[in-house]
Amino acid sequence: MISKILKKKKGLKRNIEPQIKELQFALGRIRKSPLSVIGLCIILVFVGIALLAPFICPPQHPHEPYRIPRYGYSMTPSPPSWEHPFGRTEGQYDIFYGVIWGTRTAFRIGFIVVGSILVIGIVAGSVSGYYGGIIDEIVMRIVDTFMSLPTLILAMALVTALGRNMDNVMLALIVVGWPAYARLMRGNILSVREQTYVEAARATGISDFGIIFKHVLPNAIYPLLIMASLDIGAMVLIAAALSFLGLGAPVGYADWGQMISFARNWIVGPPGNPLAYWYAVTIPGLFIVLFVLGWNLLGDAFRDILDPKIRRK
Amino acid sequence: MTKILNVDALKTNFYTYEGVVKALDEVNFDIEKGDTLGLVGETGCGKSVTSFSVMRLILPPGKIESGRILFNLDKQDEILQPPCIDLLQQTDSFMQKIRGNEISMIFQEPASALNPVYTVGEQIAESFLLHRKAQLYQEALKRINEELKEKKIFFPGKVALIWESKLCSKVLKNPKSFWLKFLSIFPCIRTDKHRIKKIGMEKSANLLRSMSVPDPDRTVQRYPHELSGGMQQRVVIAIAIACNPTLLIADEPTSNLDVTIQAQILELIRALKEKTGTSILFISHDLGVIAKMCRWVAVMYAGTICELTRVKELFEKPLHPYTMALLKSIPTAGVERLESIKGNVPDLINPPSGCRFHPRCPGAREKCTQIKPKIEKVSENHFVACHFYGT
Amino acid sequence: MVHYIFRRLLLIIPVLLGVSVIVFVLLLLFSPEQRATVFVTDIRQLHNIQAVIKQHGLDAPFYVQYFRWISQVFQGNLGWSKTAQRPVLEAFFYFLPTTAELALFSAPLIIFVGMHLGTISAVHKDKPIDHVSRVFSIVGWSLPTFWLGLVLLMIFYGYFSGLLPPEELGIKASLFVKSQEFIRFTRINTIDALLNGKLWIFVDALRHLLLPVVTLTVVNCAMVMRIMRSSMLEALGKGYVMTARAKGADEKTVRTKHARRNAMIPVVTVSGYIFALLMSGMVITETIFNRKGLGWWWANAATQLDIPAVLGAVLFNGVLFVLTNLIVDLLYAYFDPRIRLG
Repeated sequence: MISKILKKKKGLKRNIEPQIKELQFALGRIRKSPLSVIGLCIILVFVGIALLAPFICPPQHPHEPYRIPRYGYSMTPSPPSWEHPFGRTEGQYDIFYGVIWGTRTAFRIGFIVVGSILVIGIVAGSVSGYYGGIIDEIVMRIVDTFMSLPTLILAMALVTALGRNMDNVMLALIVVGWPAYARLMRGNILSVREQTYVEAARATGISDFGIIFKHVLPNAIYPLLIMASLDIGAMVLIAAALSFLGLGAPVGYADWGQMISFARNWIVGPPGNPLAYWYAVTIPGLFIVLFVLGWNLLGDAFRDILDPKIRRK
Repeated sequence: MTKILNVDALKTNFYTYEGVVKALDEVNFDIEKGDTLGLVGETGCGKSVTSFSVMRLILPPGKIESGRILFNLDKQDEILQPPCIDLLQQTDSFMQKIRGNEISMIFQEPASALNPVYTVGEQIAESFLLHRKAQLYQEALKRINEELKEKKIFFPGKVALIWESKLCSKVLKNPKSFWLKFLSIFPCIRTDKHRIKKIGMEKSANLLRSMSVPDPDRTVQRYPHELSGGMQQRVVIAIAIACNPTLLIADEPTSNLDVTIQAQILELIRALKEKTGTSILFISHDLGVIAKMCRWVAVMYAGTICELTRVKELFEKPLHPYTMALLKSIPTAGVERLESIKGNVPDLINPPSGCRFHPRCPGAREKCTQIKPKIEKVSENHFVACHFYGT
Repeated sequence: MVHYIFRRLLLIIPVLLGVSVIVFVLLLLFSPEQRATVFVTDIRQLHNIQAVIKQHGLDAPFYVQYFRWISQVFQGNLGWSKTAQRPVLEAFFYFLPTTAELALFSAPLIIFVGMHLGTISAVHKDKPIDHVSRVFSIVGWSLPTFWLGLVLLMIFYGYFSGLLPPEELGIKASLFVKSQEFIRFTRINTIDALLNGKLWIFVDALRHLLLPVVTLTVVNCAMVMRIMRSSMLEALGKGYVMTARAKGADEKTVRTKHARRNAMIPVVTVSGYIFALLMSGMVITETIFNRKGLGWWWANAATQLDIPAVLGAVLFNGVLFVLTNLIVDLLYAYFDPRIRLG
């Protein structure tokens, strides 16, 4: 009995040791690559903004902190001033307040959507890849079908059908996003399944569940994490695009995509001063770009580090 | 005897993430004209790095640090002195003229050495086109003139032929002219290229025929994946010998093939050598193959050459302890127990001090751990790098 | 080869079936009244929606409804689009040319720019030029299409007063295009202008095309570049590249003739997805630049709850994807003799 446990532990240790080495190697590379450091810094700054949002600009309506306060009803945007450092956009919504609280919205969308996608994808992919046969066939055909449709258009149709609000946008993004993960996970499982150590584990009589969790998953998960870090940016982009089209957040909700949509009619200023309303478009846009860029830089660095094909050369 | 290649104190390093891999540490050997030198050693001892260094095909992160690779360019020359050249001092464009023309190489894995998207014939013909372009075009010109004379061709065909001959003579005169490059934008105008391709294919087929490949005319139209491993290796050899090189480097040409095919390929290489008189640097980890193919043999260990002698002498009177251990580990009928060499192949990032073999050497002494032995002449045809050889 | 094509054609069927199921499930999310609009062929029927519900049995069990709906689809009846003011299928052909024109200009550019950047990046791995092109691609990938479009408009339409305007054509040109003198062969402005020999209309159309094309290219070529870079790096490490070098080929020949030809194969295989990506980009781009194409129509339909048009969009994209992938597979066979002959 004791020897069995010991054996198991030894096996586990052997299983994990290369991964610890891998992680150390990855962290070492991240510190050396300037781009990933920049990415990390950008994300940390955004985390700070999101956490400190109530202190940076205290909400006017404490029960609805995501409602952007408006100062008047004039359609023409007003330029930056001391009270409104980024100016006011169409309908006199405060841009500063909008972008600060929009950071929270972005994180919420990114984490909830990508987290759910990751879980669904891993479960569907593992089941499909590990059991194979008819289950695999069905899951993969569903995946194929979803992947044959352009993300934005399918999300658009879903939001139209479900009704327009933030929760439905997230739901739509989850529905649209999981197939890619399931497919990737399935491929990884298939390649890992045939490895000798999994065969060995199976021979010792561990349950299927145990094998997937202990032996297959830890070896198959890296590519998924890379994809997830890249997808946080991508999902925020799609959500912003939906808001921009008027399919996402309700009017006045602190959301970057909507802030840009407010500015749509004001890209060209009055005669003689064509760039008069630059702030209305540029500032919320820069927030989106930086946010997405941060995640992409980080994900790209991860990809290079963990891609065995091109690493260590 | 004339020396065709003289490698002197060759040092090659690889700058990897983990550290500097000192792959070759002062490698010395030479090859005489028309001779075959076998290079034998364990996997990872630097055999392939040596061959790539001679070709000057060490790519970053690798770098040839120092040494000389003297190559006898003039085939008639008697002694090893100018006009022989140091390959390490030459420009890249000069090396491109040397590669495939004077020195060429047969690779280990025929399946990956051939480009999957081109036919076998196209790949062999590329060698001709790179080094025998003028010859091909003269041949083309000759054929055009014959066609013009012989047949009664009507007006449009005649114009096309004249246009072709004009193009050919233009290429012969000045292959890099701007005008030709401009015409190449429209491939249908460069009719000469079709003819050249055809001639190249014919020459490839002839080459394969001389190597007794069955049905060469159809084989050249095939893609690599349609051929068997042995046939692929024949094609790789054909690419290498297309331009009659002075030196042929065979980097484990048979290690990935079946035993029967292995014998055929070895026989083929030997026949080629007898016919054309090329010198061969034959790399293998299999002493049996080396014994069959070579007259001279160099034993490599961890980036150094430890013994260099005639094959017969190596088997009869090995002097270096590594060679002795290696010979004992060959399975032979009648001997029941095989001896293995204790310990592992050393890490080339932090190689052992002094003699690189000392941690595994049964007769290692204090001196071996500190001073690196130089390769020394022991007798007429025997060189050893060991402080206490023969003991 | 015939066998290969046949197998590809067979694989299409489950995907098309799946797309139809997705669209139908979407349809079920609406109320029967809203659903009825999908079956409407004529604007007059909208006033008597209860009759339509009864006629098509929209309160029947879902499988019955599915077969009724799919038979309608096969008859080409996808409902009445209120945003386009015409039946959905007719509206497709009405809006298609504008979108096709944009795709015609941007898709080759995306592939071309992406492949070249990827090749350069791979060849000069870890050199400054590699870093620059990678940063360019990551930044491009991070730019929201709608924001980039607006900023470009702000500069080239606002600041340089009307240099590169939105919409498809200027007033003068669009009046002329609609007149009797101008024969509309394809309804694609640039091509028609050339066929009619009206160079000024062609130039005008190009001026209107430039910004949307740039927007789509900058945002989408990152993906092509990334795939090309990694597959080129892989190809450069292959044995045949070494063989080519050992033959005495110069670096340029090694790269273009040997490595790139092989590296292009993965790019070809994903170009179907690139097309899907482009269609997503189309929705945003056409909305911003006010080009009345498919994307513009779908965006409007979604905001105005024009259900038949939205569902039609999903269906159309499914079919489009299947068709482009079929073409891609044939291209793939052309590029890779292992497929063609295997």
